[in-house]
Amino acid sequence: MTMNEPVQHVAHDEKPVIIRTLGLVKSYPMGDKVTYALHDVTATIYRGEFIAILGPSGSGKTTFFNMIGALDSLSEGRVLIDEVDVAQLSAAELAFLRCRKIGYIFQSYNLIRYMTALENVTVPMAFAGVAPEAARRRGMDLLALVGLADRWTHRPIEMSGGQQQRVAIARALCNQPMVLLCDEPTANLDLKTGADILEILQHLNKDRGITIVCATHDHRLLNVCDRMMWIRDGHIERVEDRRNITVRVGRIGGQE
Amino acid sequence: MKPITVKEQVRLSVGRCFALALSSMSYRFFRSMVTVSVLALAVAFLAHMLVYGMIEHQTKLSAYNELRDSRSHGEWVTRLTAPDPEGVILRNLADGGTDLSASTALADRTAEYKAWSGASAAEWDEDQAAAREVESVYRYFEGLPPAAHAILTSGLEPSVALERLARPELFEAFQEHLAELRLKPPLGDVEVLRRLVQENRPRLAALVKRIQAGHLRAIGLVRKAFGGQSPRAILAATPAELTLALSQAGFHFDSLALDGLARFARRDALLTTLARGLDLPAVKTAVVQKTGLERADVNTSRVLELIDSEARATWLAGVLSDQPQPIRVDAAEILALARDLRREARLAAAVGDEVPEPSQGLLAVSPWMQWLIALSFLVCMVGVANAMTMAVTERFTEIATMKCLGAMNGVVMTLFLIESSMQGLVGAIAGLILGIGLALARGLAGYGGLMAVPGEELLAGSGVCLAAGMVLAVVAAVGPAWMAARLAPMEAMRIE
Repeated sequence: MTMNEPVQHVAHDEKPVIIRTLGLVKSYPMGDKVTYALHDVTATIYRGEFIAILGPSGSGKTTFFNMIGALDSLSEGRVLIDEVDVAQLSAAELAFLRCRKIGYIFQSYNLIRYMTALENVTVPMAFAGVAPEAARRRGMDLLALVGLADRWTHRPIEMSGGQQQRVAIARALCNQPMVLLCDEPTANLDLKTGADILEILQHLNKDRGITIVCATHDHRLLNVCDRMMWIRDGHIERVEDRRNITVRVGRIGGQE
Repeated sequence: MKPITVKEQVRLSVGRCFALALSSMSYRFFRSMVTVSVLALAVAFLAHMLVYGMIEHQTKLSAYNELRDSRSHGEWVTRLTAPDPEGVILRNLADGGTDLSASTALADRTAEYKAWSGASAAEWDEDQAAAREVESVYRYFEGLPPAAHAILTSGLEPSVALERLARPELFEAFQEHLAELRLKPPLGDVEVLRRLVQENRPRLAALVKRIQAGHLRAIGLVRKAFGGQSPRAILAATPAELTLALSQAGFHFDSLALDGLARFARRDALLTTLARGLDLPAVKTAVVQKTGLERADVNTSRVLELIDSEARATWLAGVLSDQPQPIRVDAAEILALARDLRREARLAAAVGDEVPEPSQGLLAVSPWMQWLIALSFLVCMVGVANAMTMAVTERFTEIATMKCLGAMNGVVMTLFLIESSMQGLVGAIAGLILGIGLALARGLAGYGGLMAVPGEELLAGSGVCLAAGMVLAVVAAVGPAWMAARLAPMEAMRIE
């Protein structure tokens, strides 16, 4: 339970793997010394699960997030997305992967400033070659899904943080990705808005079967996710199933 | 579950890229105004330097050309009146021998000299060398400090001083003076100087005499052809007659240059008539009463300066025809002449002392101007590159986000290429209009109606400025954009 290996083996029989890392290392040369952001990380993410990556700031969870999202170069090891080695992909294949197979949600939303909500949502569809009319229709549907149908003409600067994050979610969903990678999606939001975002994510996971990987230190996520992975100092400290924790917490609570 | 298959990302059409770039540009319109204005100012500066240089040169050149006929008329009067003096012949010989690209006028002159002197090719070369030595000695005398100059030339003209050195005792004295003054001898060597004054210079003097005699014979032939008329009257003949007579007499010249002579000959005749009329005491009195000029100042140039209207010209013609022996002149011709002279005075002022290079082209400007243009271009480059680079660096996050969303590097580059070239185009056009406007205004202020604008060069210069502005903008924007696009998205996002 405290190590990855047994968990992986147990779960491997139940669910197919979607993302796997093997001996992942990310290091930055700092003068003579080498600083490790990630050191020998081997982890597995299963299809259809909602996994939370937890850890204090500077622990390497954002780095891990970038690695499994094929957003950053790695120093050593391998990242396999559905058994495809990311390092083997060409620039055009990487673009294809990022465009259609993975949806990204960032802490600072990263909407494109000069585009309206609808234009922001349709950008990845434009990159995917979807015809403008079809993209527009699907964009409006997605905005309706996140509850922003009436604000499609607004630019990011005219929207609140929660609204911007909902546009970002709609944008991440537009090419029907298999995985949604969220880097601290609620960190910049107040409690209520954060809860709304989590609700949307949970809905996507349960009703649409989208795998969700969520780097966070928002503990409300514990109620939503299926599994948790703690990262500290570039290592995976432990990986646990939420049910186990709930059971244990309940027992501890019962004792008290 | 179906496994994912990774294919190549589709390539975006230029049309879609344009649509994306347009939405960015319309949003950034006012923000990018700063960058565009920097570019516009830079291009304006560049265009102004370039175009003003062209206008200045073209104005001088056209003024010089316009004055050519009047200059040429004056020269022909001199050439048909008497042979060139010795000093002029020597200078032409010296200059014509050294400079291979000497002007055609000088080449014509030396060719005439050679024919009139009857010298063989070898003799001619020696004589030209001797002429150069003589000129060099003259320059030596001119370059001396006043005291040394007085001692060495005994205060005489350089040519006379040189001639006197042919006498051995004076040459000895000259040598002693040189030693006392601790000066290097002319031509660097006393023996060369001795040979010059004793052998070459007398031979050169004989050559000059032969040339002058030949010139006189040629003048005689021309006058005979025109029945002994005066040179000014001869020049009023038709260009064809003139060309025939002059070339038969052995003059060398550009026959095209004779075309404008007849007009100047007529004008010259009118000037002479006017001068004769204004010499009459009664006319002088009338002019003094009418214009308030001093009696001593009444001459053709001063009076013509005052003829600026038809009424005044008619009045002057009237005064002249009222005399006991009437002098008939046409009032319209007087007015035209007065205007011509005023314009020529302004043309001469515009040209100044220098003879403008006839060569055309983009860089038909002075080396000093070229240097300024190069320098201003450098300043523009730094300014524009800085502004564009800053604007793009601000957008690294945007580039990274686009890559996260599946943009290919090519798409990012196309977007920035479109945007920066549009900005470059707008900025460069605005700058060009501003720069050319400024140059035209400055030219008008400086030269007024004389200003000449070169058509082709102006177009070429505008093209250069436009291209420079656009290339600068695109390179400065696409460089950093390419740098960011090449990186993995998160690496680009880290650069702030």
